[in-house]
Amino acid sequence: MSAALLEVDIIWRQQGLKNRATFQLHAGVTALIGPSGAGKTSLARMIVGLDSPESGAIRFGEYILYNSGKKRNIPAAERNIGLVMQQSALFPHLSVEQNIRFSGVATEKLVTKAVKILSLSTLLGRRTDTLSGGETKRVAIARAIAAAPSLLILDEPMNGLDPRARGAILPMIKALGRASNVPILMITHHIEDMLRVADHAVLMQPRKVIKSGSLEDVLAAPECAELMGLADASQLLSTTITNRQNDLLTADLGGDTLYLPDLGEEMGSKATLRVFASDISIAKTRVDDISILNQLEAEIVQIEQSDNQATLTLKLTRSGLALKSRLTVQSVNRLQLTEGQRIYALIKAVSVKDIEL
Amino acid sequence: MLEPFEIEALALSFKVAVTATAVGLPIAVWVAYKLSRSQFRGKFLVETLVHIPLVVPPVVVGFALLVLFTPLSGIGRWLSEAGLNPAFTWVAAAIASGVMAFPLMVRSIRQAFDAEPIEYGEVAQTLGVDGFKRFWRVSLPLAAPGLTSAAVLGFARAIGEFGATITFAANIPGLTQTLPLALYSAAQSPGGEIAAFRLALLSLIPAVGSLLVAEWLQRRRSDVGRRSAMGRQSVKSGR
Repeated sequence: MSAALLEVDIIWRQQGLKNRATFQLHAGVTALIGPSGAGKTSLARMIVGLDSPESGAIRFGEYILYNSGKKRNIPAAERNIGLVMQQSALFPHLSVEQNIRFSGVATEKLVTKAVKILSLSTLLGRRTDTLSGGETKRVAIARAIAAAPSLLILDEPMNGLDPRARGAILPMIKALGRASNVPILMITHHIEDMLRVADHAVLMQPRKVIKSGSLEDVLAAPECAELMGLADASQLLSTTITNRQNDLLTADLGGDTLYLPDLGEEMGSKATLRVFASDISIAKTRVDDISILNQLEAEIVQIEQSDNQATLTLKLTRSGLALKSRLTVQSVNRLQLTEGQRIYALIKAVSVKDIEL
Repeated sequence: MLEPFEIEALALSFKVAVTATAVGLPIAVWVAYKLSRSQFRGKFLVETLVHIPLVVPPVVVGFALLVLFTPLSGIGRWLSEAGLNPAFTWVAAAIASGVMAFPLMVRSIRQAFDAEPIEYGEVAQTLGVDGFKRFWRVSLPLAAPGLTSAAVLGFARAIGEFGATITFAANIPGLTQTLPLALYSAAQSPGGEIAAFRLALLSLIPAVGSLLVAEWLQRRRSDVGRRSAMGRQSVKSGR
């Protein structure tokens, strides 16, 4: 992983309650996820410099943006961090093009690039109050990018957009992350948006950042499922597509072969798969007369029980990868499953959801 | 058709009111912006001072100006030595009506500044635009409707100004005698009823004029609104 670009370690108060955020931001697209009201927007406003924390430090590369000990607090106008607010806040007295060129540093090259990535060439002459929600958001993003920020923060860029507009904007954000060297911090409360766009994630529960790192790490955090309202903990599997036969793809998972529905992937391409723990069943022996195609040899490393549920941590025999499976306690008792036992993990092909759309 | 002294009074009234509005407006913008955006010591005092002409009798304001500009006072002596003392000139009439119109202008502009959503200024900051540039490129254009209504209100107030003007600038025909003052003189003189009636009718010109301008400005604005609404419609039907 590349060196940290942004380092945040701050404490702030909101409605009298103490909030704390400690995390690092790396190159690429990072999703800041958490439930509504967790304080994501407040955190963004303090990184940008629109609000001040109570104490701590914010650093971008070598620049100290905020340091309570050194009494340093660079004003927002000098931080060079772009923020696309939820409200977009396009200037109503200016045209689309004038909005994009608003910043003093918007060079011809930057404007052209922003217009291209966000497909705005046909909208330049329009008044901002004639734009649709998706168009408005794209103009706001272009305006921020044209100001040559060293970091771009997008606050819920998909909020309030219809599915079509969402579908259009997500790839643009992804392209933006790739085309420019500008790291992007995207605030969202949708796991799906994170999975489609982000390289890293920061997970926030109300008043606290609890996990940051790779998507895999953050998704696997037990708090993640609970906070994000997922039915279950989900896990990401990195696979390589190896073959295609009869509408099924085969993918290699560290020596094991997985069968997936054909989603049009190229041979040899990487595909990241998400599997819910409740979608993994256990059999003590290989089962032949069953519709489930994916049966991976594994060992039960750990069994945790809570209420009526049991979470099994499995270690795949071939790759050594860890997988979690969720069963009812009755099933565990009926099958007499114990730690250290060799079993087969049954994964339904359709439950392996491709997310690299 | 119009007597020379009537034309003179009308022209003088315009000169006085236009000057009062033109000089007062930028100051009103500055004061309104400070009151709307800044927290400073003595803010309450400034607010009270600005609004005094609204609540005290105009004659008192005129008298206060007279005292302020008398050659016995500091400012008055300094101006007299420089040969610039405005007392009993048309400039005095402009100052008197400007002071009376000032609070109305500040109120109208301040409302416009207060109504600006905070996000615009914040976005401008994140784009590296702050301070005077931010005021000039964001707040001022967004407050434009407030500015035009401030100008119309201020002009109407200035052109009708009587008490402060007659006290500070006196009622000198051809020099400081604006329409209301001329009307007052005519109404006071025996047999001046016809002249007073004519002056009253004449006073309608600037009054109706400023109303028409206000109406025209408002119409132009709502036209823009309608156009943009139509634009939205055509976008939707185009899909």
